[in-house]
Amino acid sequence: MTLDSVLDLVAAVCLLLGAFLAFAAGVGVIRFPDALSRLHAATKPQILGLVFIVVAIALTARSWTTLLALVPVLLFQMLTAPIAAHMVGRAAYRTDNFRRDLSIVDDLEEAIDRATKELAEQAAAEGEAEGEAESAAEDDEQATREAPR
Amino acid sequence: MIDGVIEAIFIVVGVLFTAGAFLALYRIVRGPTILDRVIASDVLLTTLILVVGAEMVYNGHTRTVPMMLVMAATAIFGTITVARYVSTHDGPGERGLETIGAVASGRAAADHVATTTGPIAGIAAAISALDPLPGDGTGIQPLAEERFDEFLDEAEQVALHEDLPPEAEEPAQDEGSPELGREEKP
Repeated sequence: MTLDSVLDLVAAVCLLLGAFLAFAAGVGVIRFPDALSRLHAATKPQILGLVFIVVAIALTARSWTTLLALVPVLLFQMLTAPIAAHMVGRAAYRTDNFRRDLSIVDDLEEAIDRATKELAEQAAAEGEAEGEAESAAEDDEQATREAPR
Repeated sequence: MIDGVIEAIFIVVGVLFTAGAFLALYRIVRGPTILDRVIASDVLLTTLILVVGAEMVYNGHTRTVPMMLVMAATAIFGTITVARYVSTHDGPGERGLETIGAVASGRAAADHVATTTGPIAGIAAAISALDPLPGDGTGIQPLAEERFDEFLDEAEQVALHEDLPPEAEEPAQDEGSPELGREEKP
């Protein structure tokens, strides 16, 4: 049993773990009920699965230049995967594409309620202070406030 | 002996990657919402990156590392573009017609494939047996369908409900909303 064959075996096991994560993501995407939990399943192989595969490649190639080329692969994936997941999760929340009855805590809901209330109070205060001539400008302001949503 | 073990592991790896890719593909066709499709296509792309890496291990070369690099760096674009587009819609009640049309056509296409014969249909049927169908499980689908008729006048509603079976003949297009296309024509 030489060192080479042991390294090959370790690489194969890493490959197996990566493949299992990809398969688990597929099962999760099918079985989970809403977009947010599917997102949870889908993001597992993006980092950990890639780490396993990169380790397997490094163990098989056994050269520093290859390792150097593999680091940016991991780096790019680690930089971009959270952004993509964040955007999809944000869109899922805003389109209500998740099951509230399955979620335990919704931290964002409180903040949204508070912001809505503050906006309403602000609008009421402005309405008292200013005459009806200003109402058109206020409408404009409200439109711009709602637009970035 | 150790070579035999490694060879067996490679076979299992191939099976797992294939199964994962098929499951993701099913979710892309089936939907029901565009977000589910985008998540599933992300899974498919990730699987592709991993398979490219696994192939390098299996054949013992490093020629496709740049390919992995480019795919890892650009995988984000599609996801973010679609997620941004979805964000511009308002709440669930305001979900666009095309989304709901895609729900209907995606389901019809998936059901159609699952009921024909052949190896692909066998796989599709097996996967759809795993799927907790929307309407039975998610609580999202019924809302969308309730709202659907509100967007259409009576004639269009009739046309839509009649046209649903022929729609199944079409290949699964994400944005495939025949209703919309017809509506826009003079």
